[in-house]
Amino acid sequence: MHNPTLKLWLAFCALLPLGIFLLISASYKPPESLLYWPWIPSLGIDFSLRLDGLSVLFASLISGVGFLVQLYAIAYMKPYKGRGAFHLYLTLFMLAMLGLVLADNLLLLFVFWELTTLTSYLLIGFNHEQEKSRKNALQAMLVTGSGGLAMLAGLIILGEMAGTYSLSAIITQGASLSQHPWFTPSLLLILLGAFTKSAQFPFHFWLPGAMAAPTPVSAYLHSSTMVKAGVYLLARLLPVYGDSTLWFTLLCSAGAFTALWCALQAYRQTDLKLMLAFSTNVILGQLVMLIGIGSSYAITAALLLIAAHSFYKAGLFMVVGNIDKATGTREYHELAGLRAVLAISFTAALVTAASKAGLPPSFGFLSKEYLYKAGLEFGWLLSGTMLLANAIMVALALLIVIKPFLRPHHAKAAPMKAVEHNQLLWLPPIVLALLSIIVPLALLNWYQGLVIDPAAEVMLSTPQVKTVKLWEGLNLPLLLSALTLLLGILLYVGYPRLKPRLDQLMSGLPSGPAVYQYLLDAVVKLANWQTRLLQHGQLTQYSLQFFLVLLAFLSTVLWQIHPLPPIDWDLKYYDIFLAVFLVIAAVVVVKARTLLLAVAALGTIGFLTTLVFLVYSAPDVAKTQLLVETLLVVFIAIVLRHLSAANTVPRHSAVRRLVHACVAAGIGISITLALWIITAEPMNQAISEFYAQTSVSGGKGRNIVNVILVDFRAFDTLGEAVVVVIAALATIAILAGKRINQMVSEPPKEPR
Amino acid sequence: MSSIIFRTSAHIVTVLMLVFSVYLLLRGHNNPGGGFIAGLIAVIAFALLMLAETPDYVRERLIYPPPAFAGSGVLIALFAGLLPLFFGQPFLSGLWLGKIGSPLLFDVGVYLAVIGSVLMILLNVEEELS
Repeated sequence: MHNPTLKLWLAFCALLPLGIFLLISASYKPPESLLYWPWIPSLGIDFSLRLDGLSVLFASLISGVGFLVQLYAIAYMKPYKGRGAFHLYLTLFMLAMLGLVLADNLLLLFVFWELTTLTSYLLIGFNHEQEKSRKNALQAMLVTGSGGLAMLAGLIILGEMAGTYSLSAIITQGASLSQHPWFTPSLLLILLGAFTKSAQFPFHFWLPGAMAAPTPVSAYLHSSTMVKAGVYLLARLLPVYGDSTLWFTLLCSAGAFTALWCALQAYRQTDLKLMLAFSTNVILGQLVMLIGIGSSYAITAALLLIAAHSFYKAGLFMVVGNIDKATGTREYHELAGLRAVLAISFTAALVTAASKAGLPPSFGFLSKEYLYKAGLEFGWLLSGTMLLANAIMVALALLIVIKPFLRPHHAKAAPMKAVEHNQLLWLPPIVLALLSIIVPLALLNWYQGLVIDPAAEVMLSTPQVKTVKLWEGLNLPLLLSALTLLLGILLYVGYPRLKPRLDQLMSGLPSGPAVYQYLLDAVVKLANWQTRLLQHGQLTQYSLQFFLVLLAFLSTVLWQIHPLPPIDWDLKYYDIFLAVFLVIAAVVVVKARTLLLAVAALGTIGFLTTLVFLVYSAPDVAKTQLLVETLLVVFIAIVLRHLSAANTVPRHSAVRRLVHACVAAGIGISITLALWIITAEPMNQAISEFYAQTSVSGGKGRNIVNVILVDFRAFDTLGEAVVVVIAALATIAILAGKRINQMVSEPPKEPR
Repeated sequence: MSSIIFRTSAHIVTVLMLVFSVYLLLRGHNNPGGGFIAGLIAVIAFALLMLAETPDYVRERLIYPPPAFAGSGVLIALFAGLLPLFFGQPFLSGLWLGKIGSPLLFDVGVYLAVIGSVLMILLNVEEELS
């Protein structure tokens, strides 16, 4: 860090989340505070932020953990190129995420939702020189992005049902929307968005794929913040959808199945980071299930689990990052004896793993107790599934502590180097580990008053808040916890025998990435097929298609109008003169045998059209037409100068000429008929009179055409100016592309 | 096209047309004219010069490359549109200071955008073909 600007920037990135954290703590007054700023009032989109029990939990996790992750990233990303950009992306992501959890407008929430998708794409693909990074970043973006689009549709339906896009107003309406016919579609679409973002089965696969990101990103996005956005949305909308049976069934089944399935997947992994990624899926599944249950025990459990998981998972990711730094590998069987070089990280790992395993008195233990309490209210199936998933978590926690740290170093293990002289590598995980212990032991009342009570109030229609206690005497949940630990130890001991069995069982099943890849290939194939069909690159075919479509549209309209209105044959001599010359010129264009004659005749048509405009008193249009025609002549002159060989018009086959003649005649007749019918109608003078009257007073100009162009409809003109520039750039690109094609098809000859 | 009469007269006509194009641009608000037409006339003037001389000759006399003209034109038009925002008026409203107003600035932007874009095409096509 010799670059002072970079140093300043890193300090800013690290201190910003801290500042936001303090600001949130200072401005939070339960039950809620609002900040309102109209944005697009005509569409019901306001920039309104709301800080209540639920959003304060997420916002303080985002800014608090964000602060620690930024500190960690300063140390972790030291050898990487483009660290400044990395911190920029991380900061942008944090701001988007904060906006998401604070937004009080459905559409504002969606905007921030998509911003987190975009910024996470940049972060996952940060090592963009590796193909795997790029591919997995795209995969994460496509999966969560398409879910986000479905969610947008769902949110719009919800907003239209409720008659408002304000979240707080929708929540007060509560379950009254359930009788609406669009209730179920909106529920399904929003669930699609939440399930993709929070990596529920069958969309779970993008999250382990996202481990291609640098470790600070995994610690932040893929454990504590972004993946919980879906959980946040579900929790937020619980008062609206919570009473529906479909909600309960879908959330509980998807959540429980994700938890179990991903626990089994996590058990099979050998890469510590992937192991953690799959176990994040497990927790997300449990959270979704808890929100699906929606009882006061379940909500309390979810509110505990969100914070507990953020602390221990971010801490564990950082520990794994340190292991990676010290040895260069994350495969657990290559790791041993790391306690010697990673003493402080080992302490952090010990505490966070205890929280992951749910050992008392850690935060993880507390949340697991309430998970069992909530599950037991709904019978043994859910509790049994959770028991198995949690037991696997225990086994993995044991593995993460014992294999890399406690085994003695042996010859086959990866060589290790000391990295803990950089205090920013071990300080953040230690803080997170401390939090995992201090909150349940000392700060439980504080947490209850500040987070659980206000949040339960927004989420539940009849809040009967449970007072959370660490020790509630001997009861069934405690027994289940003990059972979980026992089973977990057994699973750890049996790991060498069980893992090959499981691999064998699960290897035949279709994997998420494979299905995704198949679908992606299918989309590309479809795109190729339709491009070949429509974008063949032949100008004559393009114009033929264009005119055929025009003919089809015109004729369907024109057939319906009969009889034709009477026509006013009030012709002046110059009308006849112009018409005759136009027809003659058109015949000459078609019959011309040389290119020069054809071009000259075409030019004649253009200049005659200019005369038509002049006759009917439109000097500005006439002038423009005249200039465009002139420019056309210049272009054709340039082309003709260089195309001496092609000076005769090629003869086409009789069939082709016949087809073209038919289309041309059809278009001519249709346009004539259309003009015939349109001009028979009395003209509406209101618009031209408006411009004639307001041109001088409103636009300060007597040339109405120009006033329209630069004042009344200046926005159109601005768009057209941009289009002209784009057309010019496209021309250059085509010319350059032609040059490149020539270079490719005719490689330079070897000198003999 | 290397006749000396054409080359000599082309130089004179080009200058006259450029002056005329500026005249059309400035009078456009009250009389037939305006940025688009004026831009086309300027382009035709440069085209004449290009046919009499070479594309490189025109490029040298333009000083800045055509894409710069096109881009700055769009930016000037956009700026003329954004200007009223600072006075509490909607995007692209006309601001007037006596006889000079932001619509004229907007028209100058259109003028430059047309010149830059069409010249870009013209010069590149000519260079590509020769």
